[in-house]
Amino acid sequence: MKTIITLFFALLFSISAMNAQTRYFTKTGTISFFSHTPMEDINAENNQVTSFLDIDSGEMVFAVLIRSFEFKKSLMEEHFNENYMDSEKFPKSQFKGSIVNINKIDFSKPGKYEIQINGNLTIRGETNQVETSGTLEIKESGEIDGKSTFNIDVDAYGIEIPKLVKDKIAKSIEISCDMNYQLYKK
Amino acid sequence: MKKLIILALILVISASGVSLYMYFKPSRDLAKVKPDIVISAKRFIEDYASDETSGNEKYVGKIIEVSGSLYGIQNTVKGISTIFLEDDFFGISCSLDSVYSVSVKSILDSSKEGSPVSIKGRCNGILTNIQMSSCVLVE
Repeated sequence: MKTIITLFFALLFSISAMNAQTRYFTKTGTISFFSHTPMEDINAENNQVTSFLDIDSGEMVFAVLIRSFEFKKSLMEEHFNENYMDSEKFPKSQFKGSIVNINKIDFSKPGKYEIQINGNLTIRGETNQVETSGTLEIKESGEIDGKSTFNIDVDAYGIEIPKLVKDKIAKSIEISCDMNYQLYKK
Repeated sequence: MKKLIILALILVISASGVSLYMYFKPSRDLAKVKPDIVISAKRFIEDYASDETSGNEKYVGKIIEVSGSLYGIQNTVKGISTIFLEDDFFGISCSLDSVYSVSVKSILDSSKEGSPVSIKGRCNGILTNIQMSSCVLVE
């Protein structure tokens, strides 16, 4: 059990000295992406995203398995994994960053708050800085909904799109994140 | 000559038919697919967690039928259910698609933690949990 998990947990818990009371998590977060061209719209969804959020420091990490992105057409899924993402060599993708305006959020007061996020996104072994905005919704139940949408350039992550399908796959892909965080009690 | 043209036409039509079928083929419905591997949840987890690389070679992309103890069920806002076997961090995470989630909602709602479950799905690899998708319940 230990060996594999170590590396991944080192990442998750590099949010290390967090106070247990301020640590939230989800294992069923949703990340979807959308590619739009006049020729074709492509979208895929991953509903098994693991993410941690520390509401004290604002630190957050996300991790996904590339193969857990599901497409409507199975051939697209195959091309995505084999031709574009090389998911055998790079099975995981991660984001590590923080909510920079975390101090402005009153976690004792339910409601929706605008957030600014800054961090590093790693896809196919390439890491780039991402700055985006989003919302955190503090629910009466104590759960927290986190949402954000941003765009990435496929070039920046070494994803090559063959000439033949150039008109069908956008160079800039829209990524949407939808996380339902619960208090981490372990 | 005429025969040749007809033959060529038939070839072109059937080839485009096949490629259109391939293109529009939806993601697999696993209910009727025979599993590549039948395994217990405990064995699957031990096997995978001891060596991720060999686990990936052995299981990724394969249709796995796994039996274990129900740890919990999570539902997303969009109505997608994820079933956890054995543990929620070091267990198996089985994602059902939304239409299927609705069709088995009453079964899921009435199932208790710790009860035995068999699930068939496609293995995608391991984060902290082994992840499977397109999962269906096995009677």
